[in-house]
Amino acid sequence: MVFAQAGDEEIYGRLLEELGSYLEALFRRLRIHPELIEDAVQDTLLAVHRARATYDAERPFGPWLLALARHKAIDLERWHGRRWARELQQVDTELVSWVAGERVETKMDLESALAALSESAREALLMTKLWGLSTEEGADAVGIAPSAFKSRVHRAVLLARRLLQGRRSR
Amino acid sequence: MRRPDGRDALIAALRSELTPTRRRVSPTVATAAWLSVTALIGAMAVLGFGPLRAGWSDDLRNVPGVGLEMLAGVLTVLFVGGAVLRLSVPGVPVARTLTLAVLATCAWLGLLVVALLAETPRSTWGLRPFCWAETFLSGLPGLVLGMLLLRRRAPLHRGLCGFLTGFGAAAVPAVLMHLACIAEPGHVLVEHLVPAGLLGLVGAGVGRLVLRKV
Repeated sequence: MVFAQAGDEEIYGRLLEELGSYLEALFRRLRIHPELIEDAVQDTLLAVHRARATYDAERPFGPWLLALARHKAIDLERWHGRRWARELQQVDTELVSWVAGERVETKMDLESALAALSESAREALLMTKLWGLSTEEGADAVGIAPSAFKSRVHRAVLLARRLLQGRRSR
Repeated sequence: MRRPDGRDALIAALRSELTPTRRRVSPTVATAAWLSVTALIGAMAVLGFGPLRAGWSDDLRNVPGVGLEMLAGVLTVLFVGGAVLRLSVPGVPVARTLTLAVLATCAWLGLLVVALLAETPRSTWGLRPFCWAETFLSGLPGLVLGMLLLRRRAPLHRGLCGFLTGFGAAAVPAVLMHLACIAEPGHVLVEHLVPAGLLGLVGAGVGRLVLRKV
């Protein structure tokens, strides 16, 4: 980083590449939404570039980088949460009919059913049924085998259907 | 979803626009500089609006509450100033300074509330009719200076930094008003500290507008 502050493009390029791989692994470990990892990595690299003058060589590099990475991840998750809520509000009849077999009474039913699913199940369901990812793409994003992802989606659908039916029979 | 080749393009772009940067002064040095200049400008502004009230030194000697409130005010200014500049550098530990700033502010407010409830008699000589506006205006230069300093740094929480800058800048004249205006607790709370809080809110808004998003 000190070389980058001095304007050494070659070393700066290498540093950013290494940081990219490190940040990607970090965000995966932190269980950042798979769809957001690349955005989080690129946003953090941009933040490193903008804030590079504030790095003090007498202080450790780790906390400086982690503060930027954490801030970017939180920012993105927050933005993503809002987008998720918006998407849920105008949720597809396609998803509704696919999950429940018929229309749910209220959006609230669907929201609470989705909220009751585990994070990985909800993620798998939304990825394939709302965002239109294929099984392979979804599996790739989550980092598991396509067959495992497929069964995760299947389990999520069964559970969501059961939750919605339980709600309606009440 | 972005693709990995987007990252390569981004890295290439960032590499190509790399320019040497000048090293920023440490948060401690920046804090000391900002606080000194803010205190100097604040004091000049308060004195520019009018002289200190008659008998302020007697009050300081004979009414312990006044001195303690001023001490809490000075500590608030120091810790708030320290927290602002530390917050403007990613990864610099700030929790302790921020906690001390909150504690000092609470102590300042607490002492005033206790004095208010105890109905301790205080001199009502030297009331400045527009002390609230003077406090607010005397803090403005400190806010502007703080914003200029912060713009050269990388504050991650722009609103919070802006709030602390505005509040810290106005807290300087608010402390001095203990000597320049009446030190009656209710008056101090409403006419001296509320403007400091207001300048904090202004700072939060300005911070979100003018500070660079990292």
